[in-house]
Amino acid sequence: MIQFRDVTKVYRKTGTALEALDLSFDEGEFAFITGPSGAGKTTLLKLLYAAERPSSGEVLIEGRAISRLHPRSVPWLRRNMGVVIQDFRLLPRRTVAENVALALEVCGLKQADIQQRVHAALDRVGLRDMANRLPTELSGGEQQRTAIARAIVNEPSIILADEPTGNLDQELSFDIMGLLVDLCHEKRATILVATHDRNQLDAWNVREVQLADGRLVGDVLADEKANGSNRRPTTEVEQAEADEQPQAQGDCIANQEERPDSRPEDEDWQAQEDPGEEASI
Amino acid sequence: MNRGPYALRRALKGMSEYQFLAVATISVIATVLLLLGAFAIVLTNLSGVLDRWGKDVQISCYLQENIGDAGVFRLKAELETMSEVAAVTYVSKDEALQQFGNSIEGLDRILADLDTNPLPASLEVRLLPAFQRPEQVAQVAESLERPEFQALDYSHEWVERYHNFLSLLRLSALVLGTLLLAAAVFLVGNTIRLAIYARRDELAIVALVGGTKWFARLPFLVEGALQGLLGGLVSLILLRLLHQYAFLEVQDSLGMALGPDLMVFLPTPALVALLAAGLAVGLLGAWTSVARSREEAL
Ligand SMILES: Nc1ncnc2c1ncn2[C@@H]1O[C@H](COP(=O)(O)OP(=O)(O)OP(=O)(O)O)[C@@H](O)[C@H]1O
Ligand SMILES: [Mg+2]
Repeated sequence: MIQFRDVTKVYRKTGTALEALDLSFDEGEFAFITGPSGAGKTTLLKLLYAAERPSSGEVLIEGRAISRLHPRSVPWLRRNMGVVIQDFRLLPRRTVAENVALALEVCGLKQADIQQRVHAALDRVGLRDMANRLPTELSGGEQQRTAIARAIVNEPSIILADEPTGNLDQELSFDIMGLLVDLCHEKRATILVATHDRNQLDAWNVREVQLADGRLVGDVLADEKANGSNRRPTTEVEQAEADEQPQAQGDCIANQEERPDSRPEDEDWQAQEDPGEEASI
Repeated sequence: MNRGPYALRRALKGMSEYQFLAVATISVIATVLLLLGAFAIVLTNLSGVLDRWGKDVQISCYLQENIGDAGVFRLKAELETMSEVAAVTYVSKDEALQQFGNSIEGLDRILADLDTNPLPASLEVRLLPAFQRPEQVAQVAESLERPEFQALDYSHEWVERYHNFLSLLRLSALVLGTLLLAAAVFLVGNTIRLAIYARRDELAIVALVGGTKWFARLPFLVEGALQGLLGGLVSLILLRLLHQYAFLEVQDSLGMALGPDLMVFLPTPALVALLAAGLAVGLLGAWTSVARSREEAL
């Protein structure tokens, strides 16, 4: 599903953020990306939603090299993804529902469809009664849920969350993380969560990809974690073996229901161009 | 698709969310267009006056004393065949005296006391519009010379000076107008860039959730166009008021001297052009600022 092949990212100003990274995630997998501040967690996620490009190596999603995606195709890639960024930006002057609806409006859905899906998404994150509030009238946790609702409203196959529990208290953090884990169960979405919240890392029996200084220093699978065996070697050979393991990693694949195949639009980010797009201005 | 309505809704919302910036942009556009419009009114009216005086470009050919009616008739017919000439009127000695007497209050009574009429009869030659430029008038006058005429007269110096003045005015209007419009585009661009800066999160988030560049930009362009149109409309209203209360005042005090319909309002095409200029300035301002603002990488 997702593959990093010998990926190095060098920022021109600050130097190497990721180095020779080889890593892959299966469909429907839930994984934590962890490591100290500056380890490269955010950079890893940015490479996936094409906000940054690798300096060398390739990033593949469903076999497609998104690291070489034409900039014009990036929007279609992102419509197939849900991204919750580190500071979960919401538009301050728009209601919760409007913030969530934005992710569907960019796809050109009809208003009626948008309303219905937004409702469902807000329901899912437990914000049904707050649809018409402004973000400033929400608690931190509720804001974060709004950001998550926005990320899941178009039923993406990949959800990326960068420190989704960043500045929330423990109870709320469990809440939010539980929500993401449940989503993985329900929708069979591939979910990557960057966090350095030790409590969360220990609480959930899911894969843990450990970064330090831009290097992969550990990759603990869910089952191994449960067994207490901690480090997992990451030589290339073994990594390749790991890639081939078809078996489910983490506990989210347990109930594999058909993922509803309803996309907001039949647009495929893999299509290099949308002919209707340029014509609309 | 429904991108258009979305952009319009967003533009309206953006304007109401950031009213100050919207008002600033509209004011700048309205002010510039008002200046241009006022200038255009002055210019239109000045050339109107010139046109009217142009119609009055006549060459008076003063006849020798001893030419009989037959001679006058033959001369008149001859001049009328010339291609530059629109019409020729004969003014007899008596008519000349009468016209002269009417030109100044009370003069007719003084003239009535004269024994002899000192004024010559004349043929008044009116030229076709195509031959009314100062140098042409001089040329035609030369070709009118006949032994039967004791003198030719036309107000060439004045017309020439007026013409030069008007060309200068047109040129400066062009230069000033271009400068003003460029300044407007620049100012509008800056205020819209402020608006975009205030809403840069929106551009970033739209990009994050998979909005195309145009989806993010279109509302700003629509907003620029709307503000441009509104600015144009405001300038039209102000111009109308200015015309009503300032220019017509001027007409009341000068009107008698300069002709009846001095200080007309702008013709419809000019008004449409003013609105179009507002639209263009707003759109161009939005375009320049939107094109310069890159959606920041998240
Ligand atoms: N846009 C950027 N330009 C230049 N350098 C950057 C940029 N973003 C990140 N870096 C650098 O790359 C390295 C990795 O940053 P990254 O944001 O991926 O770390 P992180 O693991 O997400 O840290 P944190 O836990 O603090 O969010 C850091 O040294 C950082 O300074
Ligand atoms: Mg980070």
